[in-house]
Amino acid sequence: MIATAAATAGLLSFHPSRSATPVATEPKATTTGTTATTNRSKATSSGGSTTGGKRTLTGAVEETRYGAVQVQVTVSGRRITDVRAVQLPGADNPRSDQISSYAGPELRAEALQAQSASIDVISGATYTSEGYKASLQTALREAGV
Amino acid sequence: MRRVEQVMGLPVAIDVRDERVSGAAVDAAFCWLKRVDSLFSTYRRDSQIARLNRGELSEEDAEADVREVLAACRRLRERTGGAFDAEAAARAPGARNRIGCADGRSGAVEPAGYVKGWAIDGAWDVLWVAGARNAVVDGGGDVIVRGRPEPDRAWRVGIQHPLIEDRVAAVLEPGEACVATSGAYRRGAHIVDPRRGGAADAVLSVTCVACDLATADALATAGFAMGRSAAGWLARQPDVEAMVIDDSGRTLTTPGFDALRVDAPRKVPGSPRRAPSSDIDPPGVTQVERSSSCLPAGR
Repeated sequence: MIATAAATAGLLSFHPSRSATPVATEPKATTTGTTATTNRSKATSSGGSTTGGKRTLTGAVEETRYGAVQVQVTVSGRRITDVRAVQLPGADNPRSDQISSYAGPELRAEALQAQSASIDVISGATYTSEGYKASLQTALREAGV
Repeated sequence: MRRVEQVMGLPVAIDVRDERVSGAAVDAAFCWLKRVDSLFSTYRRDSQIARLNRGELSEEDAEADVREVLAACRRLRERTGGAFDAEAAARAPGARNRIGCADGRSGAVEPAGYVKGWAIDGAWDVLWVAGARNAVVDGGGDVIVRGRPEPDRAWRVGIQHPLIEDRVAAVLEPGEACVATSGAYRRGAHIVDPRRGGAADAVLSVTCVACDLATADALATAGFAMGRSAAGWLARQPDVEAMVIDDSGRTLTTPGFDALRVDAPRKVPGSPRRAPSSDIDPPGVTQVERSSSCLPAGR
């Protein structure tokens, strides 16, 4: 069922200059959470750092069936400017590999858009890693966004 | 209460907001999904579908759930003019070599395109019986929303933008409806148009909103396989609202879909079904009146 990342990239190159207008979402002054996962109570995040108004926070390590997942967010003011996975399930299991290569970029996307739209759930997102979300959540809570 | 498990090859998230619903109810819903996987998975040698495909089990002798799904798949093939075809799915590259597809031999089926939505509908039924009224069940991006997340607001569903990874293409408050999206941007070109044999590629994503997820998911899959004719076809279906994003980036929506959006002006209640701003306007086609109570026309 899973095609290669290269195939996906090929499809994404369709007429990029005429892409549909994305929805402009306004950052909320008081964000109660990025997704429904907010309700989970998880271990606190750790390892924050600050450079030039930007803060980098690392979420808790979340154990998933496929291995450990850990996420780092960069925050400028109340805005998330980047989300990266610092740890994703390793190469010991081919399936984990596939999930890692998908889940990283996809959840990065989800996190970036969900922060501003009070969206509870995304339709279209396949192969999301909940461990990634959970780790992200702890980092976001720490960041106060 | 929120729980996520990887089942049927997908992360399935169940988020129930009713205090009275116990963890046991959520366990039962996941149990149901695991049973579905054991019956239908073509990744398992011992599933009923794998045994059917090898000729070791006849359809008459299969479990009632299997017979129900196979009958539904045949109805869908008819309804979609072959755009949804569980037999073609079993022969598709990437599926035929799977352990349960019996090398795509004649009569082999891969009903996964229907099973996923149908299974998630069943999981919701389990939760409902246990008293859940306010919940989301998210099966790898195909979602059922019911009730409300909090008393003073409605569930919001973002539709992943197929070209811009950190954006949504629309935001819906679908009320009690189900939302499914098929596209080429997530798992690669995983939907094959049975009538052409190749990967469906003229549209980037098809989103369907319907009263049950089995319908929404199957019609989104079929619409994606149809390519450019999907928008007109979906506009004529009585039980679904749709958004199609084609490969030139145009977004086509049915008026009923727009009525659910919160990122665009809502249609005035009581305005004509075919509002002038409607994007889907196939020549000579009048969008049918919606028959389904959970969609805007029935409100």
